[in-house]
Amino acid sequence: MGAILTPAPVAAVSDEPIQRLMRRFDRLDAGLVAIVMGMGAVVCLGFIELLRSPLQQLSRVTIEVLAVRALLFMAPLLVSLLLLMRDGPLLLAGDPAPRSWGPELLASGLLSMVLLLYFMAAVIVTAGLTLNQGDAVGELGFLIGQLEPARFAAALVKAGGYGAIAAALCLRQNRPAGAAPQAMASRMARTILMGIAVLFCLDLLWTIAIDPLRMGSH
Amino acid sequence: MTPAERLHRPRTQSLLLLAGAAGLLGVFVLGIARAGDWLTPSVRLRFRTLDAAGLQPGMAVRISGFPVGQVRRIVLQRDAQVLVELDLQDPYRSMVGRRSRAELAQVGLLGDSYIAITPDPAAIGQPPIGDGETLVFSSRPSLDALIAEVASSRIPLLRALSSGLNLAETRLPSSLDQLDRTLTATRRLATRLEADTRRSSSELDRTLVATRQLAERLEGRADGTAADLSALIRRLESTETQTRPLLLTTLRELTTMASATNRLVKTLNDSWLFELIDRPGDHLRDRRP
Repeated sequence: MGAILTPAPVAAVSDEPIQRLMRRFDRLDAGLVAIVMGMGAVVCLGFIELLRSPLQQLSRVTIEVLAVRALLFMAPLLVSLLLLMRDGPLLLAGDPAPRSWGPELLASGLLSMVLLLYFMAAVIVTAGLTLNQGDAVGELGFLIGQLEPARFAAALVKAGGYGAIAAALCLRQNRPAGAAPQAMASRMARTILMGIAVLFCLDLLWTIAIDPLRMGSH
Repeated sequence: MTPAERLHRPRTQSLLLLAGAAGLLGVFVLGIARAGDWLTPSVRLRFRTLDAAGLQPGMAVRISGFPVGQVRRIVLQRDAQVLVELDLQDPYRSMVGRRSRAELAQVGLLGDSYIAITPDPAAIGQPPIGDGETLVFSSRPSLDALIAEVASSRIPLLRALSSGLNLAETRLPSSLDQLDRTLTATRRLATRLEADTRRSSSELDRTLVATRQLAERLEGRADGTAADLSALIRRLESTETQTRPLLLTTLRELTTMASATNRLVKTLNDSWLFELIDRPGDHLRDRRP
């Protein structure tokens, strides 16, 4: 009874999966969302400029739809890499036991999906306002309607998967027990490099293998 | 509340950002559903075709150019026919009937392809078309067929062109010569007509002047005659006024004389003297014994 009334040690409570999940979500702050949305706006503006000037695309609708759909394709990779760079150091100090990775992987996947939504919102608003011809609300509704349901769901799944994989790569760096201790900076650099390489390979695999299968299914 | 719970309670900012993400997801899903007509009740129709080229899921279905639905599914059947299923929004269901046809159309020359459904006027007022019914698909001629048709019509076209050229070469110069001659004759005729017209116009001017003078003269004479007539009429009126009492008196005397003569004749008629003149023997016979 006394044990119940006595406050539990912080370490013991923080090991609970729900608590760990919530602690990860605590790191979702306005700064991260602002960075993601800024990145979405900048990438979208660059893409629109590319379509307008060197490629001489003159149709406003074509430019908008191309920008939104192309960035929907790139968004999972971008937000996952951003999340890897931000939460990588935290995960490097996590529990090396693979059985306890679940909450971290789930949180990373969900956070990546959340960031994808903000990223796409920034892309759509930027595309809609840059080439707007008066009816901004109608323009935004039109651009949201251009998101194909299957591709949108695939982008969400990709973002979740990439976020979880990036988290697993970070956690894996602490996995070999008894290995010689390495400097934190060195591990972080290697993890980020490996994360970028793995995510690019996965994206390439998705583009080559899964998209053609899905597109040819009808 | 334990210190540990206080430590791990989510921050308000994180909750707000998560709620914002949930809201964004809702907006995206709602926008996609609205664009895909998921929220509008629709009826599923189908048609079969031998060629799926140009068809794809999600392409628009239009009636009279107005978007009324979407292609949902394209399936290759066992008999190598292509089954196309499309969703037609419920408010436009009454425009489609048994005589409606589906065909592949395109916006402009380079625009998007879409499925055009011809409306059936006979369907208005009739029970609406049912779910799962099959429309007739009329395929449009492909580009290959058009090119083949153009190629097949090339030789007759060349023949027609060459005959037209021959005709132009042979007949056109003579026609031009005739046209030149006609134009020259017309010009000559126009010159003559112009001279005649000039002459006639001077004659006409003179005639008009003479006519005007004659009219003025006639007008003067008519004025004099009218004055004479007026004087004569006045004289006649005065004469009639003077002679009217004499005439009346004379007539009255004549009437009196006629009545006296009448009486005289009557008296004579009744007298024996006339009987004697008419029957001379009768008088003597009555007096014989």
